Amino acid sequence: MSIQVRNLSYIYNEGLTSETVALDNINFDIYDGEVAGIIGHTGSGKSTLLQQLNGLLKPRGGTIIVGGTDITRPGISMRDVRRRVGLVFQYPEYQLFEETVALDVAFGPKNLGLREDEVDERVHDALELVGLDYDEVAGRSPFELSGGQKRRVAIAGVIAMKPQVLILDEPTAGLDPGSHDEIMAMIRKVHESQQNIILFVSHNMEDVAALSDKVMVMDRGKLITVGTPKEVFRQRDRLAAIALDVPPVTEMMFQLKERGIDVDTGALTLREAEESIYDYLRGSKAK
Amino acid sequence: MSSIIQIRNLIFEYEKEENGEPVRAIDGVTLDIEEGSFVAVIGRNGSGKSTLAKNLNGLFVPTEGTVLVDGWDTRDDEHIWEVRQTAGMVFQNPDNQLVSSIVEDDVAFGPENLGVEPSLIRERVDRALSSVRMGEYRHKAPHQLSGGQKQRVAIAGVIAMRPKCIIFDEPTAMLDPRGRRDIMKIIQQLHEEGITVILITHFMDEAVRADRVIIMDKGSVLLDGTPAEVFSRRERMLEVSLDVPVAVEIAAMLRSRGIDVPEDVITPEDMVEFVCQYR
Repeated sequence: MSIQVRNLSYIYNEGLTSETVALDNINFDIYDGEVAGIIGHTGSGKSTLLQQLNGLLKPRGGTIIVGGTDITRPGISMRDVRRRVGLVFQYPEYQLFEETVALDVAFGPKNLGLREDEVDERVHDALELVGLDYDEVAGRSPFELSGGQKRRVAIAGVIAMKPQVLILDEPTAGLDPGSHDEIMAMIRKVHESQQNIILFVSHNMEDVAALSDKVMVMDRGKLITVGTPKEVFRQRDRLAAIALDVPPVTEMMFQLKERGIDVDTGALTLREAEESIYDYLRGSKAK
Repeated sequence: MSSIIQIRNLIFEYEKEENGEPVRAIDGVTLDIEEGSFVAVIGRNGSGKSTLAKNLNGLFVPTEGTVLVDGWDTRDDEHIWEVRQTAGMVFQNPDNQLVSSIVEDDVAFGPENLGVEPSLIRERVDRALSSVRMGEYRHKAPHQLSGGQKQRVAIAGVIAMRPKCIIFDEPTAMLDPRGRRDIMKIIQQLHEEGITVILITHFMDEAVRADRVIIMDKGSVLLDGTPAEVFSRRERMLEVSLDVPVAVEIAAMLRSRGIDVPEDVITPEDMVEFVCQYR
């Protein structure tokens, strides 16, 4: 199972004065079981790309091959696409609508035409996977839950369709620190158990560094860099030029370096940063 | 310095619709907010921080206790406009705050309602828009703006009412990094101009910029002090599921390995200065 995107392009309002090239000849591969983080300033084309991958928008040119099937070819059934690729929108909790949590999560699998007992099983598994107790929440109204719980219900609705590719648009936006950590742990758990491909968009560079095997950087409709978190966040000044940050801890290391302190600017975690600062201080007279 | 806001034994309960059992969101808070100060209020979801914010300009009135804004009791209906004019409020979602179809009309809305002389409104609107650097967008429609730009217009709308105090209720939660930075710059600038700023936030890197940090938990004040005093209580912060600023985490790790890092190392700049002493 892999994704190959070739020469993908998309233009909004083609032929009008407001014509905008949203995606400009995008090429990339995502391999089996990879987690890819997509970063880019607002308007860089990230969301347009996600919508292409899920078949919500049709490209102007190019192909998207998911597990051997070109999802852009004419006549492909959307049900097939959705079965392969699940998209969780930004603030998905605003899209909950059913009377109970179980009904909300069941909506997708029902539309896939599954038998009732299969749907029930999937709802059960999906809720457990996102860290909610089925017996406790299934019969409750989704609107009675906390913000973080609502978001997990919305994500369960997509997971219940068992997509081979799970796409999340800003999964931790607007959450308090506790709920933020819970959603991060949940994404890891889902990935571990489903062994699916996960693509996510985030402005939180710490999350991107922590989760991604591969980071894709977008700017004005182009994919300008792909690499491991270390390879990408090493390019702090290039990222700054397109209004992107490196993780806060990495930024601090760059500031130290600029003051002539010989520390590792490749540090992406607290642990790595502390190790490097400790080594520096031990080598000097701080001890 | 005198207090612009005085909160005495504030209790606030939400009426629950179905079974009528009230939910206590604020449970006995007493605080004084000094005029001209920059106060950050932090707490997890449900800690009562947003409810507290809404009690500071009469959007909510106390179930028990009192809130005085520049001396006016928020429960006094006759003076609610004095309260609202003294303490303006900026909310989280920029889409819910703009009411007009043209940016400058939106900014004029507040002063018009206050009955400001029409000839003076023009000047107030222009100044407010230029202080948030949105002057060139004055004839645009809000939907043509980015989230950060909309939030700047919302702030201009509050500034145009010339409040002494502005309460920001998670103003950057829905913004991208550039939007967040712009808003934080404007907040600092307003503070420097002498406006009292109360900032409700989840982001520790924003809170370290304040001169006072208040941590709320379960409707009460858990910690209250300078950023250095509050963030040095790392264990306590983690207990209530709050993050600790990056530099505070690293300082704690270094200390556990025998490096003597002072307690007032809170921001990345503090850490850089600390390490540079040993260059």
